[in-house]
Amino acid sequence: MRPTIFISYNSGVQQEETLAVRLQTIGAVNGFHTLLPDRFNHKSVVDRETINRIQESDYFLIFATSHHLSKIVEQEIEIAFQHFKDPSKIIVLYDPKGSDITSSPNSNKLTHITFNPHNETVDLVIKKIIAVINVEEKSKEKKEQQNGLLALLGIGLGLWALGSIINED
Amino acid sequence: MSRPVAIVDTSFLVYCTLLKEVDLLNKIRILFDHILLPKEIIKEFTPKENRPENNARHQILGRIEINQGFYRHCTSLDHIIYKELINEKTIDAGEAEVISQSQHRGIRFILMDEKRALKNLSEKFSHIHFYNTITILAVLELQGFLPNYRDCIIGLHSIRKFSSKDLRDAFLKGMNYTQRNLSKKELSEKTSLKKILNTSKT
Repeated sequence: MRPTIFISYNSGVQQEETLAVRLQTIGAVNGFHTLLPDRFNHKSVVDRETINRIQESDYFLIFATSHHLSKIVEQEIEIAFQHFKDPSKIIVLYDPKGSDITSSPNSNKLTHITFNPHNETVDLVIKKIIAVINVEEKSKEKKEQQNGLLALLGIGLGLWALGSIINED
Repeated sequence: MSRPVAIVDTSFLVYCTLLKEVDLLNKIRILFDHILLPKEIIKEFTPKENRPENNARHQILGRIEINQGFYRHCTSLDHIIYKELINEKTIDAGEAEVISQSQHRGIRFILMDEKRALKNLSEKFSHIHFYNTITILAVLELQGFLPNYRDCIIGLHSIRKFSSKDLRDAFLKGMNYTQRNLSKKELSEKTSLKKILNTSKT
């Protein structure tokens, strides 16, 4: 069974928005249920529709290429934690050169993993992720969900690395 | 609230030109800041022959401008997203362009009437609001901009079949968009197709 994955991003950070919508599209056309936040009506508080989407999800993901987690992302993480009650289901990937996720008020409610696209490879980061999320799940369904998550994480990291190379050029 | 931008699909444009009871393509100026037309949609909508019945289409095509005006030609899209979509068997070239432009530009409203595409795409892209002609009529009615609401519903029904449930779903979407709630009785009156169509016969 493929997991339902909520993909968040910091509004106004072009690289993050682009990565999120690309990953959402790739997931959607390949049979994953991938969801994005609805921020049309509310720019600073989480919309009811977004809450529903987080509560419908199996995992919460954000590729935080910017220097922070915005207030609305922090609120979304709080909602996700209340729903999952499991930090391993809330995965924040961030560039150690910019972001300081450890100072987030929600840092104990999420799993934060660094990725420096300039000197780290995607497979190394996937190994880091496997080390922190529980891959010893016994049920077939959970195992399949984790495999789906890891596949999408790999694509997301690849898109991030690709975006970084393009930005450098 | 500032008015949003929408991207339009060929199917929506076609029904708008066929609906005679209201100039929907003019009325939607109330709802949207401007409308974007992707290249493939312009190609699909352009008549192959110059016949009198195609005049309405030519009028719309003549109003399209680049970077200004209400109808704008949209050319920027995300190529990674476009390539991913165009390889998907269930999505045609026009739909792929509409979605990739929406994703690339952060536009969350798509005007589309083709039923199969609506079902397929709204399942895959739940963060995008897909509005068809029925929903647009519902939104206009909820905002008090449609004095001949019943005639419009009858007219639309004669060219595009839909059920009371479709009409009800359109009103529920419209209520969400306008943040205006109708009572159960009001909702029932506005969405009972049987009542609306019977009124026209009496």
